[in-house]
Amino acid sequence: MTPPDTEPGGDELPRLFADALELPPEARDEFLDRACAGNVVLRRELDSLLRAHPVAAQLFERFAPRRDVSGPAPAAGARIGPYRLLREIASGGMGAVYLAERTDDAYSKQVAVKLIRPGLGGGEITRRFVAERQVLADLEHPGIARLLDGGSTPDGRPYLVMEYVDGVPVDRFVVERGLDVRGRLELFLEICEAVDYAHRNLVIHRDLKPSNILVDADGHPRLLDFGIAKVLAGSASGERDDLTRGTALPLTPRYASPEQFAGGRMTTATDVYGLGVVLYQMLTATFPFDFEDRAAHEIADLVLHAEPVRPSRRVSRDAARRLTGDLDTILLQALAKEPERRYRTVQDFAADVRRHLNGFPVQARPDTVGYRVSRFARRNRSLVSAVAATFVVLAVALAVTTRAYRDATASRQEAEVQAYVASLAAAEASLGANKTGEAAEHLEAAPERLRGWEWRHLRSRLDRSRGSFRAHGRGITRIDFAADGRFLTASVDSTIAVWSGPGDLVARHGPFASGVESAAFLAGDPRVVVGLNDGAVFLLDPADGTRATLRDAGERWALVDASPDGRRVAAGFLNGLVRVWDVATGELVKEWRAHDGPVIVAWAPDGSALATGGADGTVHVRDARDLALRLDLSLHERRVYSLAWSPDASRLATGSIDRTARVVDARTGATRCSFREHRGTVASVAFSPDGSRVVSAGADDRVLAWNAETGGDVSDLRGHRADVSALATSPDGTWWISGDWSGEMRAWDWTAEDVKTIRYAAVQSVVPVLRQAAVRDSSVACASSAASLLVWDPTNGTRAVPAPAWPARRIAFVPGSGALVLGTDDGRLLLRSGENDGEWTVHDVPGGPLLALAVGEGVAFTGSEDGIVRRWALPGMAEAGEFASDEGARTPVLDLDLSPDGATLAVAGQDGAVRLWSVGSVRIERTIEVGSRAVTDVAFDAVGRRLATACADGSVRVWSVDSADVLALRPGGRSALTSLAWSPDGTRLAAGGTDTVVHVLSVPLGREVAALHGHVGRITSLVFARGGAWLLSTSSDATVRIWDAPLTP
Amino acid sequence: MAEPPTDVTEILLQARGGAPGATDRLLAALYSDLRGMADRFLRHERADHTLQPTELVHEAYFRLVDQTRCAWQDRAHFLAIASQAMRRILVDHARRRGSAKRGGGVPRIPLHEATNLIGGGDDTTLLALDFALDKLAAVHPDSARVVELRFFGGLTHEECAGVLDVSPRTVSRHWEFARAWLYREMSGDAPGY
Repeated sequence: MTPPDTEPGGDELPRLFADALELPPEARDEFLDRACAGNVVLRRELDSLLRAHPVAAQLFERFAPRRDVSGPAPAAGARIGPYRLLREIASGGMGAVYLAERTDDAYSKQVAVKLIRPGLGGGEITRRFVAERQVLADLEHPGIARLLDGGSTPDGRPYLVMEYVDGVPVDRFVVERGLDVRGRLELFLEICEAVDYAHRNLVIHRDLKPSNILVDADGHPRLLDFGIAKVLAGSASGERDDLTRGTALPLTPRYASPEQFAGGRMTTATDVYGLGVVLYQMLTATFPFDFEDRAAHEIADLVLHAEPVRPSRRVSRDAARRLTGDLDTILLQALAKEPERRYRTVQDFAADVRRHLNGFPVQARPDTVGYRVSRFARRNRSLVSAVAATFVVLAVALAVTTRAYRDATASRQEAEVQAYVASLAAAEASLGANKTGEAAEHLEAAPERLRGWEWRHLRSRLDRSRGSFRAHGRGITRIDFAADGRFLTASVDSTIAVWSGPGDLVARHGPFASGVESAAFLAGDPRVVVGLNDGAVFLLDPADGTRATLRDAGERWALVDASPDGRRVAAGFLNGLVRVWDVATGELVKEWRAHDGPVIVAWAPDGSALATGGADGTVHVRDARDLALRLDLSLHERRVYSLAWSPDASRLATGSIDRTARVVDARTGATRCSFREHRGTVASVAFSPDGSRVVSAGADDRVLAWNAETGGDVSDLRGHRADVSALATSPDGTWWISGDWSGEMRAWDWTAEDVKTIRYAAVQSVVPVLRQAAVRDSSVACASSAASLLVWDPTNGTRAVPAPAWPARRIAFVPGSGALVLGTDDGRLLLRSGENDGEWTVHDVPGGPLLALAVGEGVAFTGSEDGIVRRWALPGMAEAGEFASDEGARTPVLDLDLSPDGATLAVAGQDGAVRLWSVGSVRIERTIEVGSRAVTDVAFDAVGRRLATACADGSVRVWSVDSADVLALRPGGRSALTSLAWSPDGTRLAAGGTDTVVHVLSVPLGREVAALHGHVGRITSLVFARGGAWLLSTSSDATVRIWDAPLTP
Repeated sequence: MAEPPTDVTEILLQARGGAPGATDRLLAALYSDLRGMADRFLRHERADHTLQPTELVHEAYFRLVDQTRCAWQDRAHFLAIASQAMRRILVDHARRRGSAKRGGGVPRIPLHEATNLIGGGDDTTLLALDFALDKLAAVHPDSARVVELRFFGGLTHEECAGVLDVSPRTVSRHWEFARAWLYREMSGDAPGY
């Protein structure tokens, strides 16, 4: 007998609990009284369990399996919410659809009720539906069946209610009606119109297929299920969410786009693809690929990798004549693998179909050999980002713009401006958090009409790579360069690919028996060593596919590397073993247990050593000759995930699951630097060809380049949207190649970092304040509080040039000559004629520190603390006259600007006034009282009609030169501003000061539109360069930042 | 004696056929494989990462079984064993990490935290669950088994029913019971405490 004070075992407790649970709460007490029959312990147990049950139901909710027990299908007559089901009209992946009518409605309109399969979307579906309801209900278009209602049944099954459409799926319709090609195309154009309407309302469909496109008796199409994918898949607040939830959503394989299979972002381009499949089917009654008898994963492979069959080959010879040419080309463009190669919009797609119908040349272009060759070059960074920016992904667009648009009290214009500013702020914040996908969505949400410099800048930061390319449908495990610049990529998709350059695929090998964990070229041997997930290691001859097996499958995770002379191969395994083989004989040279597995291996580039790293965080360095242990290092808390040698074999870089990377001396084992910037596993490391920098990449989707000695000077290479799992640098140093877990690869060069930051290396721990930058061509010279210039050239990097004087405050290039003028703290004017290392001439300027400088054609003006402006004649720099404040106020001159025509000099004074001097008559023509605080910067616009002022009170104002008009762009009472710059197009002002932020102000909108964060010290100067493609800021944090905004996408 | 097969499909078939030790071997094979995948696929260390054992087990199924075209009816059995392996992996993982931060002992979690259990891959709650699940298995083994299958293996009620050879309704009853029991146990609300 069970002792009374222990828990009742057996099945009695569960049974009674479940029985009680099935009763209504009010009937439970009586049932339990009876069932427990005086057993107090049992009764107390049941009571406490029943008490716990309602809360416990949430216990595993977030882990609930996606597919749940599916209750019996409701029968006709059943009620769901206020609807009575009449009959089932369809059933599919998402659930069953019923014809129904409202029970509480006198005018019983028939509707379609979609009962969602349990588990899809989970308990959040109702919340999401509510969030989306307004947007979806507002989709008023004759071609779109409206979503009317949604909720969940008492047993928790969500349902959606939409307009009932009495029609026939479009693929059946065209056959049944016997439409000719023209008729089919015209019907298709009507479909496009509805989809385009939805896109313009920021809703994408994601599941376009004939069964969702019904054609009514009058021949008009109605699209079903618009926006439902979104409700089911959840808010696309981040691409990672999209990715995971996207897989949870039952896609329709035959209509799904490559990005849906690859887990990429779903965008309007996804619908372009879907429409392509629909049109293909309308014209040929088949699919673009041979899907017959294929399993789902084979379909995925076809969609991801195979070329679509030309539609003209799908039909009889007669019909083919009608399709060959234009229609083939149009469809293949719509069905392109890469979203950016498809039509940019549904409108473009429809326009091409219309051109074809009207006999005009279409804009789609067939894939020529030339096209394939130039594909990578064309898909350069700016193009990719431009296309990325046209993707409309909904979530944030809706969140920001709908809220703003619907602000009933604000005017439409004001709401739009607010939406714009909010989108940009959100985008900047997302970029700061490295959420590129979110940032793209925010930018896309920004009203197009208002986009300007700041938008271009932020867009350019979405993707800093030179381009992306892809051959693998899944994760990249290894990238290895051959000496001739070819590289190979290995993937868990069980294949390897060989490339002659980024995007230039030479060959693919496989699929092998399991995922490829690693592969490497053999020097002096055409073969490649391959290690598979199942543990097999073999040498593959790419020419004929023959293999020489070194190790059969069995041990799992063969991580291989080839010695630099190509004579030996090493492999580490999951069980902790390392083996080394002789390539020529295939003989095993040595085998030993090295670490806890899996073990990663890397040969030193000079062939002197073999490094191995294991799951226990240890790294071994062995002599390559006898494989004797030379160094046993415990470097990481957790598994060593990646290993790389410096090119001179003196150092090793390691990356670990513990989120750190290290650089150690390969002879002594001493740690040279420890890098902790990653927020996830450091999955890959590589040295730059000169060994000065390390690139590391990891589970935080970032590729970071950093100084191999200090771990500092970090560049963030942004673009990947999945765990970055492999990295390599080309032998000539031209490229970095990275590969991620979605199978995407990217190529990078030196421009790749987020915001180009030029840093003045601290000399003897003195960190100089950078005070002003001047730009000539693409090189930047910067005056600093150290007695030297910082000069940066994109090809040579950074260097410090000694200047023969005190710290400099002002700097300018003389237009047209390349001569450089400097104004110094000790009141000297320095002129360096000619190019880089020309001679300096020094002129003393009385009146204390030289605070302001303006340089024009053949003339320079300086302003000093004594309040006197002096004119100098170039090139000899002879003093040519003085301007002095005639009130005798003699306020220090803080800034000077010469009008573009050279006729007027604006002088900003510490007394809060700007005085406009006529250069010809040396007279004050106008005094503008800006405020009570110092005017720190004054600037003419490009045509000299307007004058902008920045003030120590934080205000920015724009004054008309000819009239009394003034526009306050930024009110005072804020942290002080110290500098100001006009964009060349005159629509933007950049302002910066003590708050370390670069403020971008829109002159037409009369307000601040963006704030750029990054500097950690006050901003000392700002200048636009290269026609507005660059904005440079200098700061007391010893850096110059180049905020770029490419002019042409 | 022939070396025991390491091919998952083969062991799976043996396990179904009742070969002695086959299930243990399958578990061992799966454990190492899933552990590798857990590291590799999920990179648990992502700050924002929510552990999804269900996806992991399904991925394992796809990689190990589907690709070798194993018979569909083995799926439930495979998933059952994979769910055991998954539990061990998650708990080992949490324990390894936890041991660095804390001493041993059974963590007790506050009631309000128990309500959003596990969602964030919280080590403490996972260990507490593991501990409570062992206790549940001692008194109500069938209910505990259902939790292991559903929670760690991501099996549906029907798949659980197939594995345990009971009706889906019975599975559902066990599930409801186990949840209440575990919640009570983990929140320290059991009578007599």
